[in-house]
Amino acid sequence: MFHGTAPGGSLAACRAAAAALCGSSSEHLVALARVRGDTGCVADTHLSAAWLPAPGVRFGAGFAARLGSLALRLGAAVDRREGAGAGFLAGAGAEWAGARPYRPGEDLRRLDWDLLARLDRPFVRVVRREASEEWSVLLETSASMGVAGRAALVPEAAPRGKLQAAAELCAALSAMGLLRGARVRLIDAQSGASLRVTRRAELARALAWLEARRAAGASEAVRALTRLKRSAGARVFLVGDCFGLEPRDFLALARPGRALMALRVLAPLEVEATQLRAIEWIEPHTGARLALRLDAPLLARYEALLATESESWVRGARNHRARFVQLSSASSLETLARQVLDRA
Amino acid sequence: MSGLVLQTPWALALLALPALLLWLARSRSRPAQVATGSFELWRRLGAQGRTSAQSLRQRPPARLWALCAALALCALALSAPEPKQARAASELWVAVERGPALLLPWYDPETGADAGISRLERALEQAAPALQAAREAGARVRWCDERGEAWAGPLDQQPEPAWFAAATGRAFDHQGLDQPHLLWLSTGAWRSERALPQLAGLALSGGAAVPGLVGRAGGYAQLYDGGEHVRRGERLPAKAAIEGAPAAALEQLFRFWCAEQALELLPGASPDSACVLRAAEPTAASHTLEGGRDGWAAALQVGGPLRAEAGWTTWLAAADGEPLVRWRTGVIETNLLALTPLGGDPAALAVSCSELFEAALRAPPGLVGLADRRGAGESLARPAPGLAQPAQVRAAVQRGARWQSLLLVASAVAALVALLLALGAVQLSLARSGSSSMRP
Repeated sequence: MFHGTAPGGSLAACRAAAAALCGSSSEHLVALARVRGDTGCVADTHLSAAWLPAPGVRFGAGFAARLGSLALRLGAAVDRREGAGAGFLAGAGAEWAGARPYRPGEDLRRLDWDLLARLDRPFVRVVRREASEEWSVLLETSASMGVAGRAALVPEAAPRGKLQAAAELCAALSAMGLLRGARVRLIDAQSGASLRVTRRAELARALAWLEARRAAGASEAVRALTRLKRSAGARVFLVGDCFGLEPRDFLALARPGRALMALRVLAPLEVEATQLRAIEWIEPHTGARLALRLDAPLLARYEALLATESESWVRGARNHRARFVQLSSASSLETLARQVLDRA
Repeated sequence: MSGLVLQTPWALALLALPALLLWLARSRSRPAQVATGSFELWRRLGAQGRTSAQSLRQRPPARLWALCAALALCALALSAPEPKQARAASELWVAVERGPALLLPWYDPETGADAGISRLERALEQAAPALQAAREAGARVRWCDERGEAWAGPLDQQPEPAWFAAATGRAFDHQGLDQPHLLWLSTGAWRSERALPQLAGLALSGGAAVPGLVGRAGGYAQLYDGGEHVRRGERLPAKAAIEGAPAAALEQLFRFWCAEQALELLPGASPDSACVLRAAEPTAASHTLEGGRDGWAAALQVGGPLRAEAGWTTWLAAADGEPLVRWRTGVIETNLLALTPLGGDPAALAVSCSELFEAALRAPPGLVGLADRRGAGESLARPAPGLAQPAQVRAAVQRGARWQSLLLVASAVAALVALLLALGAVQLSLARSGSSSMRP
């Protein structure tokens, strides 16, 4: 396990050392290397299977700037929506931050009567959550998160994978949380490693930590959620494909004053495989194979089964005043953020 | 194709091309292999749709099959098949009883005078009408040796004199080569002992007896006088040599044999050596085994392996086939370091080795066996009774050409079908892309 909040660079060094120690003999099996590096960190390093097309995370050069811009836009959008009473990301228990002009249709309860009396123009109160709040962002990094949207195994093509999309979402949530004055705790569901950031200046550390994530191994999300019960923040985000998880595993975190949101990221082929007539599915962790002839009835049954599973998440989330959003890894970060905001 | 024979069988190698195309198409049609997080869902559903990855391969398209058929038919046409009967009727094989006797001068059987030509030339004169008629009718003339093995030279060309005069030591296969469409070319010296062939044609030089060297005994030439006598002639010196250090027993027997044959034994071989016993290069490693032949057995100490070369006849070999003693005309080569007889009749080894030495002994220049020098009777030319007439040959050649034309036409049709199918596929693809681009 990775203990403490070591910089991403140290963790990356540990992982590089682990890879060097294990060599490249882990082409087809997931190897687990326990490394004790010079930096004092101890890490369980999973090496990804060769058949995973996108097991890593890579933020581009302009990603940080793009993220800052997105966070500001999201913040403004949340503020604009506050009056509607659906501010999952703004939430209750907020402190006064300022005022802005009233827009028709907004909740009149938010109207600042003092300003109306003084200026004779309607303004609404803009609030932000209290600075003591903590957001827990749990990122699934099991082997299934290394799946991408492509049909072929072409590693050099570097398709956009689920882990990439999920990590970008985590980064956006972190930026959003920091912008709103919250402490953000990023947690790797596989290794249990975590990183806590409290200031916007620490966003770069969060990005480095996310870039060090790698999809490997069987899902440990249930165990991670169980551990999180003791230390979850006021808002808990689960970002992953949720395969191998039951809604109750996540919803068990529900407490009064705590908001839960599950963001399910699926690859396009996991949502719809109609472009292929025949396929050989590979189990991401074990490499087990399943050859299928995809005819219309089979595809219909698959989509129905997936819909049933998603519906159970939606229903369970509704019962616990939580949110569940299903997203496609092929979508851009901006699209994903808009979809999340629409459901928040 | 069992009733067909191929004129250019190497063209069948081109069949690998369509096979390669189909293999490539098959290997490219493998189903997509995709990792998915929803594997468990598919596994739950997959009981009905599950199959093997092999069976999921898509069949190559019809246009590819048509193209491969065109290529295969083209390869078959290039291999020039023709019916066996047509081939038999359109070919005349000349079976030559080779040997130095063919190069003896031809003496007129009636006058006994030297006619200034060789027996080979006389035999070819006898064969000329049959060869000419066959060529004019479009048949191919091919040459084979005393065992029926084809001469490897170009079609419709006559072998060089050295091939005719080669002394192979193999007897003419009178029975096996008595077939229609065959013409025997020989001196005919065997006529007094054997009957004429029933089916094959004949071109015999004949000729009166030719006096000359028929053997060498005790260091003297044995000369045939052209009649009934053989007399001792001048001394006929010959040399032998031992190179290296062969097994002592073998070397000793060789020395005895050379003394008996009046061969001058020299320490090194020269170009005119009649027989050389050569030991392989000595090596550090050696092994011992038991071996024997012709009724003798011996413990053998074997050095390094002999160099792999063609043209040798193995006389003694190890159980794994590695040659221990081998020979060719004029040379005996061995890698035996020691040969120790293991009981039995000591004469058996000596007799066996003498036969080896005599087999390898190079005959002196001009030596032709007595049987070959004797009179061979009258010249004789007789066409093969079964040899096809010119009209039949032409018909047979046309039948062969018809097969090739048929295959070429079929190949062209298959290529046309492939082209049409490919054009159809392109049009369909364009139509699909057009309709999809018009969607709102």
